[in-house]
Amino acid sequence: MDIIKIENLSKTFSDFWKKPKARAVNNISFSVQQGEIIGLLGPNGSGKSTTIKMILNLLYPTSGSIQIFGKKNCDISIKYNIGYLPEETYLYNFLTAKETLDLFGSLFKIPKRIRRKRIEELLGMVGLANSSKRQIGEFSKGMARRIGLAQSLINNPDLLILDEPTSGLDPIGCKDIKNLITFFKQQGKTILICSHLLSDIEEICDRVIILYGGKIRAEGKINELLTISKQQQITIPTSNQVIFNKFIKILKSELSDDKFIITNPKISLEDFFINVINRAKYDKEEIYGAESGGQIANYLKHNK
Amino acid sequence: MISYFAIVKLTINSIVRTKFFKIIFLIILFSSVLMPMYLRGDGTLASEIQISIKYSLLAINIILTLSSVWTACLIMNFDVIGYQVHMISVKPIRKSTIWFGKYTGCVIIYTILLLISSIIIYFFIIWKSNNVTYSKDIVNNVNNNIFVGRKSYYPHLKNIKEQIEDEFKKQKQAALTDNDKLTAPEILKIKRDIRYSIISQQGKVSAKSSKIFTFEKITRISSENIILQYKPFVGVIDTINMQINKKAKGVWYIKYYKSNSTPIFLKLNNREDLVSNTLYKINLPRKNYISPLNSITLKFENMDNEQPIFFRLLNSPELKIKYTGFLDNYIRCFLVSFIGLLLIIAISCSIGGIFSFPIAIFCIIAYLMFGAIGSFILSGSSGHRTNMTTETKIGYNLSNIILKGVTPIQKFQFYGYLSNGKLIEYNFIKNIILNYVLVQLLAFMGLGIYIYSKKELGSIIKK
Repeated sequence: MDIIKIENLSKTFSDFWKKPKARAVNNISFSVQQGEIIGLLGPNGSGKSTTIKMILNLLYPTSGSIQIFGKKNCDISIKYNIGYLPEETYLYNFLTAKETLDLFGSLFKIPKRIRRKRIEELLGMVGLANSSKRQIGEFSKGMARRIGLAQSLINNPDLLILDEPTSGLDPIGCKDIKNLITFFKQQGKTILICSHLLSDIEEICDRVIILYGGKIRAEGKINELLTISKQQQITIPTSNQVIFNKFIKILKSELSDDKFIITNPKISLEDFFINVINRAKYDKEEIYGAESGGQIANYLKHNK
Repeated sequence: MISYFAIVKLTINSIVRTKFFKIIFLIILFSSVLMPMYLRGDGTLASEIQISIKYSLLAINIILTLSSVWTACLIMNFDVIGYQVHMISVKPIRKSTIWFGKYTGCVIIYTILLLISSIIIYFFIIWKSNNVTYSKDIVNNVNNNIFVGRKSYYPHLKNIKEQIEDEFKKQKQAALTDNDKLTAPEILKIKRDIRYSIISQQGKVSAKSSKIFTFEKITRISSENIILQYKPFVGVIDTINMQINKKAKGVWYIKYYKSNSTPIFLKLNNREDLVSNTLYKINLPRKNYISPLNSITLKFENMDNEQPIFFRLLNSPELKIKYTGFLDNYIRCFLVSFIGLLLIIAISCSIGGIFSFPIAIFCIIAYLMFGAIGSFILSGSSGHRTNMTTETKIGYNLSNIILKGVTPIQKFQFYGYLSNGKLIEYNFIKNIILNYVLVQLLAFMGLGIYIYSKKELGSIIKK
């Protein structure tokens, strides 16, 4: 089932006299299937944000159509199943974390009792249980980002639209988000991610769309796009020198030296950082900012 | 409704936490306390109380009006510029609900401010009037003329329309052979002149004669506290040819309905010298004056041997009958101010939702100015329409056109009525609701909601 279906979508920004000034999106078409994680990539000004804003009905297309859950995107009812995390978390600075989530929960018409329970679970999940009564204005960028993520999940959405989800987060927060996204994929939720961090996209997305100049320049599954079909990689343990020497001997007899490379595999810096922090956690020092490693909210574990 | 109330709550939170609101709140508090305490009149208790009522309420009204314009425009704009509206409008809530929620939040805040200031001013004025060392008569005079809601009645003009038509026909037959030569504005002007002349004649009491004045449709009457107020013109009615301090003698009578007997005329004052163009007041004794047909009849006897005495029947003689107390009249005044706030906040929210903050402020201030100047031009030239210069005519017609779509904010200021003890009739309030609330408020709201709903909220570039 197509969760998002976009056909011949264009957006031209005009001046006061309706004279066209810039064509941000130029006749693009794509669809997103249920349970899919799709990445929208592109340099600045490529039309990613404009496309997302049009999907969310914050901007109106000049031409073309957008359907979400089989309905027009201007239909209010579809918004009950959408969670949106914008590029920057635009929240009301004077509200506390709890009040913020309560506000967004109210907009989904969630009854007070359920809202209260969900808020507690979400604050725990994003590691802000200790800061629930602090005003957003006092939060660091990362903490505000976490609250932004929590508000996008308050309705347990079927479709998540995440604009730069890991921006402003520390590596642990990034890892948490990626784990969360993977968890949502297992739950069958559909996720549209817009990001500049190609490693994030590579790690979590099933499919990518690359935009440039308002047009789709490349589209496909990550594995298909990134696999170099003419080369292969073999990993063996270094402890077994006998096998290694035999293997090198065979390679050298068949290929010249410049045709193969031998290196030690490396873990990513992110994994290394997390290992260090996990070891440090044994010290159990009191912290005032965001905590990491919160449990996924219970209500998110249940499919609707 | 949950989402609507969430927006209302958010708006109230947003307003209350701005520095602007905190400053306005303090100004309102100080003004409400200090103005009634320190405003002074011409030295009499009545003028002091009148000025305290009128100018304290007027000042508060002006502060509230201007600050509500600012707040409403700010509320409609700050989350668009700050992008927060992105987070709201992607949720399942209609933009019309967002608009209406913001409007309601703003109205609630300003109604509370109006209520607080009105209560403070009321109690300070009452305290001020009780805390004086004037004689009992002076205090009674204030109670009778200011702390009261009196309805005014004017003499019934008999068959005025028929008389105008008859006179018009006569003049037309005498002056014209071709009936088609008169244009519509000319006919209007002639009829207006005839009306003026007829009213002048009906208000004329010739020398050594008397005239009956009937006040009709008196719907409710308490026999207490009826005041007869009149302004005689001796010799001539117009102020241009009038001689200063010209005097004549006259006596007033009122028809008194005694039980089981024929009504009789009671003398209200002694034969006294009446100075031309001077206001007189007579407190009527407590008796039954109302006829079975709900009318009151007065008789004026001109005792002068030569000069006629004229009354401008549109405002003199005037019977001022107590209808209600000061508190009730004060509440009516509050109600009118509240309706004014409803309208001005609706206009501000509409324009604030369409334009950016500075442009919206400029538009609304222009709107208020047009309303004030337009009605000023109309009221200034209404008495001299026959002798208008071309420039005045252009100004007059332009003002007329502007006032078709612009509401002068003075229409919601009944402080003069309140301070003069004049009843703010529910009829006035009904007319305000019909003419301004139902037409302009709904039109502005409809337009504001429509454009806000159609507006692309994502087109702002975050700096």
